Amino acid sequence: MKHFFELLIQYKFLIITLFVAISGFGYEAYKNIPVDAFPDITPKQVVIYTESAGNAAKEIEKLITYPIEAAMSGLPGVKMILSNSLFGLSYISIFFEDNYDTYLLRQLVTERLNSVNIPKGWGTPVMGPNTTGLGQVLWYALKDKKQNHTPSQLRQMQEYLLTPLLKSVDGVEEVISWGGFEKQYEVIIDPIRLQSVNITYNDIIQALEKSNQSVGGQYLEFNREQYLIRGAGLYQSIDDIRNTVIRAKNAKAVTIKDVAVVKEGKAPRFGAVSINGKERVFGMVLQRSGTNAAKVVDLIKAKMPFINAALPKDVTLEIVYDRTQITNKAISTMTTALRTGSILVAIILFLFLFELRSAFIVILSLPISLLIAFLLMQKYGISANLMSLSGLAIAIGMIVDGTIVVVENIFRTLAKEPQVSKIKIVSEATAQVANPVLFALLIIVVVFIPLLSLKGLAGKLYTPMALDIVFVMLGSLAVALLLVPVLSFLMLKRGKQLQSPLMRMITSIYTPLLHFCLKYAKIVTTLTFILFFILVVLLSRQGREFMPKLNEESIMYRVIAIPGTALTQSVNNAQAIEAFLLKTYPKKVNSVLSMIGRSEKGETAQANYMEILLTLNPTFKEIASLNKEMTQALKKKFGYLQFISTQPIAMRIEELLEGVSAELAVKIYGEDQKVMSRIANNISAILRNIKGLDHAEIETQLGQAQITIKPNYLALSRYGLNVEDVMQVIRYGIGEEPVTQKIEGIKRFAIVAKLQHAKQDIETLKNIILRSASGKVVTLKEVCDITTTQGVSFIKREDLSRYMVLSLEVEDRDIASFVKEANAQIKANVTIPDGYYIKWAGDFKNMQEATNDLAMIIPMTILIIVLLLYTAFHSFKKALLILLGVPLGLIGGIIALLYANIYLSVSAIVGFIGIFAIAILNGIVLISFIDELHLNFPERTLTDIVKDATLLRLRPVLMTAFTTLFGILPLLYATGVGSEIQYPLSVVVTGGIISSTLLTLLVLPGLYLLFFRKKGDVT
Amino acid sequence: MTKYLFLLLPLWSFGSAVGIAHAHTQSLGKIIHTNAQITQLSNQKQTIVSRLGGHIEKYYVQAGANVKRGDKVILMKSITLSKLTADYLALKQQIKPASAQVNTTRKLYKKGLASKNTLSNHLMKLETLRSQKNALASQLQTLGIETNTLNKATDKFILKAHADGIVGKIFASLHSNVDAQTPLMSLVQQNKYYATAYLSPSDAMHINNKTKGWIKLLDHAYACHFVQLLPTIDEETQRAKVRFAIENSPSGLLLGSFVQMDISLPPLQNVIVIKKSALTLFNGEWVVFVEKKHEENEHEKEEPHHEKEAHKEDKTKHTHEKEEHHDEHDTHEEVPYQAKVIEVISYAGDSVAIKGLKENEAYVSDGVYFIKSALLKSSLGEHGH
Repeated sequence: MKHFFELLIQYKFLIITLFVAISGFGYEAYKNIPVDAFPDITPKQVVIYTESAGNAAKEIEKLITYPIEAAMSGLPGVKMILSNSLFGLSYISIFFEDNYDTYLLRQLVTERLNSVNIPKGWGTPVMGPNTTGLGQVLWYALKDKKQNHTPSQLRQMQEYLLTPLLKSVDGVEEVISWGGFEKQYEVIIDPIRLQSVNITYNDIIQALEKSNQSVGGQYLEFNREQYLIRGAGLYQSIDDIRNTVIRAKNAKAVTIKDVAVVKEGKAPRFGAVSINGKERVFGMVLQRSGTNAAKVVDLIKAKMPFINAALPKDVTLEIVYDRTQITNKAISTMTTALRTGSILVAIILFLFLFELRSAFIVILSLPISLLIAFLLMQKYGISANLMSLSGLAIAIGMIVDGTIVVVENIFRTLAKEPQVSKIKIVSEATAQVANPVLFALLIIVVVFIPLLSLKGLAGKLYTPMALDIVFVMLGSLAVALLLVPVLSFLMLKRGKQLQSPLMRMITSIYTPLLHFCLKYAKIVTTLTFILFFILVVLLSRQGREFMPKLNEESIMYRVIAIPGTALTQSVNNAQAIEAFLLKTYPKKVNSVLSMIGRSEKGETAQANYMEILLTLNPTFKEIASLNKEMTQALKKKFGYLQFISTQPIAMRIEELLEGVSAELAVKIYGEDQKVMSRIANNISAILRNIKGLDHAEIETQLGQAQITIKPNYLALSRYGLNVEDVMQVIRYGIGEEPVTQKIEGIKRFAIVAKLQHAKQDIETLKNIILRSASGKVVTLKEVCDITTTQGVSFIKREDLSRYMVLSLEVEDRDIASFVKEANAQIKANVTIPDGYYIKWAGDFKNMQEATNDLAMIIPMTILIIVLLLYTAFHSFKKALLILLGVPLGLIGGIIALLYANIYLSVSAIVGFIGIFAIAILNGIVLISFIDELHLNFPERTLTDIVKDATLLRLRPVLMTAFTTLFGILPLLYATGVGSEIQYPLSVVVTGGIISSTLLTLLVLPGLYLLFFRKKGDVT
Repeated sequence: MTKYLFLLLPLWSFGSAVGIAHAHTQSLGKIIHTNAQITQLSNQKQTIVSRLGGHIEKYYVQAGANVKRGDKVILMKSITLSKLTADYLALKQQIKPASAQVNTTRKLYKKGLASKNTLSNHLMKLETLRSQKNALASQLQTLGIETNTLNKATDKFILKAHADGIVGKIFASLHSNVDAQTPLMSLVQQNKYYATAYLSPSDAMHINNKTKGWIKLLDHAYACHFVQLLPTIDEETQRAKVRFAIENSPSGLLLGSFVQMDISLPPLQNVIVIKKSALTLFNGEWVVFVEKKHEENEHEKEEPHHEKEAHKEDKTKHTHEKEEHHDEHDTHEEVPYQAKVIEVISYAGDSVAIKGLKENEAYVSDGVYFIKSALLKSSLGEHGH
């Protein structure tokens, strides 16, 4: 070992060059590393949606959703299939195991889709965009400064100008258009006139279909040249539609204009967007999965001048939401914490070492280790995000531990043995501590490795953090054992070691305390462990949650009106809310955006649902209190609507997890929705009495008013009509399904043949006139049973089984205890019939999964650590002794957690894991030194040796403790976006370090004495 | 009459007004929209027939021309007429000497110079001639020829319009020879149009003598009154045909053309009528919202004393909890309305005839959506504990 270090020193310049190069590459990596707010936590999923205009949920479930689900359920790697059948849309999400390639999965899904038979006219299944759940990177609205353009024209700009331009940007998968109106050509048929000209509705449909055609007629040769022949029968103008011949007899033609009015109109829509009280045209850019959000947004922004140039002069694109803003805020929170941590650590080091050169070497190891970590992050495709960077911030104090030990040993030896050559001293001193440093750093790595095996959301969130800790610790190991000896050789000078005044003060306080603790070792140890067990009991009673809410520094609401609310009413509701917010909070709210219903591309929201995003005044900071106040004001003002406060990213994450957008939910499975609804209502009533429930919302699947037109076969036959005639009238005449398209350049507009006044009200609908081919005339109500009922609004299914969701919001109470109490109450009070069952979903499920995973992983980790310790000390007794130091650290962690009154979250658990590592490190440092002294001075009593060793090791133990503590302090006091996520961790670690250091210095020596004191030893 | 009391409820500020109205009794008619065809009765279409054989010399009018009764329409040359007029003039000539001879014979008879038999013979001859002349005169007058002024035999036969109308079609070509009784042209009578409405048999059965209708022609509505329900269903359309006379119709309507017709069916007598905007589907049934009665008072009367106490305690506890956990509970007021199931009888414009409300009963006529939302929302358990 010694020779290895000698060799290193001989090739010192090579080593330095190597590290300079590594640092250079690391810096390059740091500059180019993709940044994101969160790691990509979205599961592998493929979405299939089928637009089936005008059809009701029940039919869609039967004819579209079920066949597709059945076909997909046999695909390899399928974890779960969720579906939602609603008015006009079938939406199926297939969740796959994460180890499959997205493109392969999409290929497999396409193959299966080909085998699915959907009845003609019921729509074509389409695969959703290849994006992640957090793929919405940019929202924008079109701004028409002079109000020169109609909403239809703006919508056309959005669809035919902006969408293709934005889609050409690398990384953009899809641009979703929302709001405004889609233009269509309307042939408004006066059914009364059909009788006069002796034609049927079907004649018109066929005439429109047949008259709008274009064909190629190959070519002819003329005078050695080729002339192409084309049949240009596509509609060129609106008059072409008017002049379409429906029937011609004896050269007399009946044309469309004889029976209908043809004009430009607006297609039926399912959603709208309103900003500050005005309807707007809106676009949403989705990133392709696997691309980096910030990069995509940058590329879009770079293209902005071209885009604005392509738009008319008075129309501009206004960015409403930019994902990179939150990303940058989160990254800035973390980098600030990192920077502050580094500076604090440097100060601490100097205060303890009280020597500039050695302090410089230790401090230098900080950036180099970090750069190595960045290099590895780039290599393994980890983005710089809240979680991965917090891993670095947590490790910042531990990075220097190895270096401190090496430098301190070299420095001390140099002062002690002035006659030996410098190269020999440096290599020997390094070799002396190489093993403990290696083991200590390895143990840290081992402690964090279990986080890598966390599954599900917790795994996706905490894996980058654990990996980063591992990377940075490996970096620090390389620096400590390769670079530090070289630098020490070059920079450290022989000389007297100066005792830092800080150390002198601490030693004078510590020495009598140590004497006391060694004297009463038994009592002190017993008391400590009693305290530990009491705290464990208290901790087990502490509430739990999966992870703290990310503060995105924005206010967003999910607003829900009763099922069946018309879009027009929803737009009115939205604009009333916008006006109210702008009027009530003029200085705090800059603008209010409402996204109502759904865009026309495979979203599942109905017209009664909207999302409202507020743009706040950037100078305003009291967001949390404003949010609370605003929520109350809104609930009071708009008593007929439900307001659920959320944030843009949080909402998408919640939605992705279980198809449930609530932190906690009860899923009720079964067949009949009425029964499920009853169970949900019963449960909701029971839960209302449980403390902590802020809000319970049944996802009302029933309550959609429906007009059912059921053909009466006998009546139809009397008039020479058949079911198809009726269905055709319902589909095209009432439902406005496009019959054909009018193509204008690249633009395509639907041509619909709708019946005049058909949708004026229920009575006019009933009195729609039908005419059979034989000339018989009859109203719809005479040949059909028309009933008005309330039916299902949508049908949700999970793995082929229907379910209903009861979303719960729990406040001022932890979810775990709430669920426990709720479960007991439900069991006692709610009867659930056979074939029906309930499951908990949402955040709670993740916590449960994570806890179960950790319950498996932690014992395994302890075993590995014991083995490592045994390898280092060749004694199970010592390994056990060091492990006993762990509770000493946990004491502080638990006290801090209880004192700060925060829930036990995965973040806090990671904090405890960190303490585990610190406690073990402290133990190793102390025990190995006691051993060394014991070996060198076998004649001395154990008590003296323990006393001396502890006093001698006081500086390194305090140094490592203080560096770790001050490294993590910035996280504890950070206030920016994302700081709350790691707050529990920093609380636990801070408490843990303090107690671990104190108790390691006071209790562990006593424990050692109790473990290894032979008879005759005197205290 | 309905009174609308628009009030902003202090507890229930929905951000928009909730309107209260009172149900009232009235006769409610029903309007149906249907197709009607412009027709005329068959007797309104006439044909000008040549009553004599002859040669058509001239048409005074062309097809489509407006003619008045007595206007010349056709000039014919007829040998028959020539003969008739010549015969008439000859008879006229013969009567004069015959009459003189009778007078002479009568004088001779008075003197006894002639026998009674001779006088009788002369008298009979004169009467025969006179009756022959009268018969011819009558025939000529029927043909439109004035015999008083006739002093010369003529073959010119002028046919005149026998009624006001429009010349429809000319059947015989000019300068053709036609027999007697040949139709020469059609004449259509104006200003008497009918609308034949096509109704479903069930609607048609409700029509009576008082039924009114309106047809829409060129942005004008023309009133029509019921004339007749035709006894058979139209084979082609399977609709009942109801004939209405169009009042004050414009001239020159195109026969056979279809127009939209609104027919007001006999009203439902004394039904409870409310505004259509009050209706909504609630738990699968049509309902209107009415103000909640103070059930608590009634409840208290029936409730035994000890239960009341318990109830009170519960309430206090509940209020206490409310204050303790959430201020926002202050905003949650009980909805002061309840749904009342009704039965819809008939729709008519903005009104609906219903069963299920009493006359003068107050109901929510506007802002139903907000009340329904609030009711459904509270049943969802929006506020937790």
